[in-house]
Amino acid sequence: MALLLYINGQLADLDAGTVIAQTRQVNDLNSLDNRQAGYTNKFSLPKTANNLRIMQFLTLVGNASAVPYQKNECSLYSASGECFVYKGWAVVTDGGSNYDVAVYDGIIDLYKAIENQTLDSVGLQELTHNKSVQGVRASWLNNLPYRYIIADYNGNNIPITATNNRINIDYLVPSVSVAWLWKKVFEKYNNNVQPTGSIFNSPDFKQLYMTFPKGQVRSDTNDVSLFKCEDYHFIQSNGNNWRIRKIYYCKFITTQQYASQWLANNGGIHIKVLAAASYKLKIKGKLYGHRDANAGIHKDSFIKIGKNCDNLQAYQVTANNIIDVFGATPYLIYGEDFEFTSNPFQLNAYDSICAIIGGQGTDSYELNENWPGDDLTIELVRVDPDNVDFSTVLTDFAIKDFLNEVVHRFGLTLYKDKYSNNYRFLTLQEQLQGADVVNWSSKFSSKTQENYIYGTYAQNNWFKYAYNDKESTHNDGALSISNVNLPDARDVIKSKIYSPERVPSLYLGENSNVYKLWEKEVVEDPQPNEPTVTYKPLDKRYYFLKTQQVSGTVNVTSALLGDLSNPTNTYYRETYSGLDFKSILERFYSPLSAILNNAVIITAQLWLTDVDIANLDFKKLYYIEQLANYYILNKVNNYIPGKITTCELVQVAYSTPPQVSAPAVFTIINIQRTGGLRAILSFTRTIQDYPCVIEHSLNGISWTSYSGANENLNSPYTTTQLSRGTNYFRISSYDYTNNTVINYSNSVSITIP
Amino acid sequence: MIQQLKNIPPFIDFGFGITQVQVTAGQPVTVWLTTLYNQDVYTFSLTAQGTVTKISNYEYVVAQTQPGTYTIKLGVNTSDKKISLVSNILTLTVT
Repeated sequence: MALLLYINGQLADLDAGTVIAQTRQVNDLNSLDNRQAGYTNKFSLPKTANNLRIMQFLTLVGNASAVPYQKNECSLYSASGECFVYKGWAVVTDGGSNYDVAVYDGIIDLYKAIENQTLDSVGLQELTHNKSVQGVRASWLNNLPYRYIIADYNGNNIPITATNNRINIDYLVPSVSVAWLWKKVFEKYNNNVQPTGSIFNSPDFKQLYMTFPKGQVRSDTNDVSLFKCEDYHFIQSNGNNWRIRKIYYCKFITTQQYASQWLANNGGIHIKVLAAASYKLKIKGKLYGHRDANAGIHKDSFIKIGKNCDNLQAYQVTANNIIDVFGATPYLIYGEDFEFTSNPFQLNAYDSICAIIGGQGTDSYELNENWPGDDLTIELVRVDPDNVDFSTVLTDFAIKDFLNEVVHRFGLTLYKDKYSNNYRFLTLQEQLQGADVVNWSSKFSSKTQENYIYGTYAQNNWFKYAYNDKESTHNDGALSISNVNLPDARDVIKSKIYSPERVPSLYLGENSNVYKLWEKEVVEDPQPNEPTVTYKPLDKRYYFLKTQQVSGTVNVTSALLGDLSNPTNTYYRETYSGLDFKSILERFYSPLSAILNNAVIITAQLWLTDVDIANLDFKKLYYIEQLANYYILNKVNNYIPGKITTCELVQVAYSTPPQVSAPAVFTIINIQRTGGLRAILSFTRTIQDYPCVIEHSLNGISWTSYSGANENLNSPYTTTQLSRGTNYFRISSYDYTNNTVINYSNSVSITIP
Repeated sequence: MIQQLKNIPPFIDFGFGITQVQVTAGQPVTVWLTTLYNQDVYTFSLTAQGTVTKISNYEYVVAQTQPGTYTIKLGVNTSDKKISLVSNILTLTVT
């Protein structure tokens, strides 16, 4: 039967009698770790003049054909016009006596588009930002694609006390919204056609974030030297009275560095910054202070930093104008070298600072204004925040891996629309809920195989996270199949995503999962002023986590930037709820588990037609009367027009007995009237302190919550006054092991006359 | 099996399994439907007093300006009306 094959828009010549066997599949249930495209078997194209032209004269001497190396758009039609493949890929594999060609379609477009691409290629400029106190708060207040999620990343967290809810941003990292990244991937690689599917609107997907994968702390390379001077005069204005304690301003004469676009100055004494930022001072030198008018009696000195003292003489500066940037006022011993670096401190635009020198003790003090032995260097450095750039760290995360992480996590199957770039992602549950039934009884010829062991499954099919401790398994989960004839265990999915540590830590007064981005190393025999613990950054640690808004007052600080924000009342904490593979399997793989636990896989011979193949829909269920069952179509093998076709069918039970529900936690054992219009409910609770809601109904059908959110719900429970007539009560309790289930107690009623 | 999947009751919450919240008047809360349904087959309707903004079939923002205690529930129906499912009830206390 003739076929029409178009390659790059040109009709190719096929030998009379050429058959092109087609295999159709979307998601082989046999292998969870990949998703498949449809394809044809290899077939031959004769080297006619027309085909040579289509192939750009490939194999002829002197040709420069790119056909074997490029995407060759290809469509395949039956003689009657049924479209088998629309805009698929033709791959030329051999150019010997004929051209050997295979055709692919379905999801191949997407997978080819993202092949060898990494996440940085989707355009992550919107994620680039400065890591500052303001930046962290902005990620909580604004709708940004990244968010600083409060969690223990195993860095240097400022100790928390009950009265000091401080968050140190230096050891926080931002996390990017998985939904945003997903959108960017399809913007870039699917012509901005976004995929559809319920999962993309669900909280499971929208609340999912991925961490910046590297422990990154601000380093000194972000320091910008604005001002440096080694040439000072010391200016005093106490007067020339004898034997007084003179106080001096430091006035620069010449400078080694003076960034005039960021600075102004007042008389060479008051250095004015033009932009609000964090700053740091470095001072060093050697001073020869002495008793006033007596150079032979040596005096030690101090140096203080004044702020906004432009209208004051040096001796007029009080403690109110001194900023304690060194932690303690530097003590400068007579004639000895000194060197100090300040802590970072904040200055607003047009704030000025000045250096003030005076004498230690109570004696008179003098510093020669231009004594060549005195040596002082002051440097003002702007401490710029760290720049966080996801595009520099996501260069090793392949988009294909990212796509697979999402697909595996939610148990999704991709369905591509034949005539457009629309991809639809469905869970097996969605597919089976909405599946139309197609009756293929008339096409059934015979059953050639019936298997009870499916593919490469084992009794325990493990979904595994990556771990910092390679021996850990605490967030792994297994899809279990009750078939003792299967091998014991097999790793099905090995995620690139890391699991948080097994033991949580206390952070900001609550338990936090630990997402290790730094490794703590204890320093043995530390020197004075040396930290007892150092923090070694880790790399390539991708974690998934969810974010939960929290109401509570916290102060956001940065030790490295010397910044402290006003208290904020809302922030976002981490939660790992539902992200362990055990929960994922319960939530998204239970239909597959049900199928595999009673696996019946039929290999059947069916008389399919061109119309059947052209309109094949793997989302549908197929009913075969002769087998008295419904089936998921897993694979159509080697369809050749006019010949019988082998199909792989997976049996599904249309209706199975309902599962036995878990025993109710609550049982109402009695209800009786009290005080006229009120009632007393007596109930038992199998788990101590298990939370519940008492529900009320006037008809036993429509129920509303009766108990308040903050009520103490212990038995016996006394109601308020009830309305006359029959009142129904029951107790509902949330099932924490299966978060889609609410358990109910028995219902009781009481009639109020 | 398929019958069971078609009849899974919807579960709604205020996020992370929370079914009761207290907010100030006018403060919006988000109601999430966590059970997945084939949106070709099912329709969704949230029953709540106040202003309801539907973000998607799975996400609703509810704001109530009057103090009091309110209940919220969600109905899920098939287009052919053969299946009608009602969610658990959420309690919203507005102060």
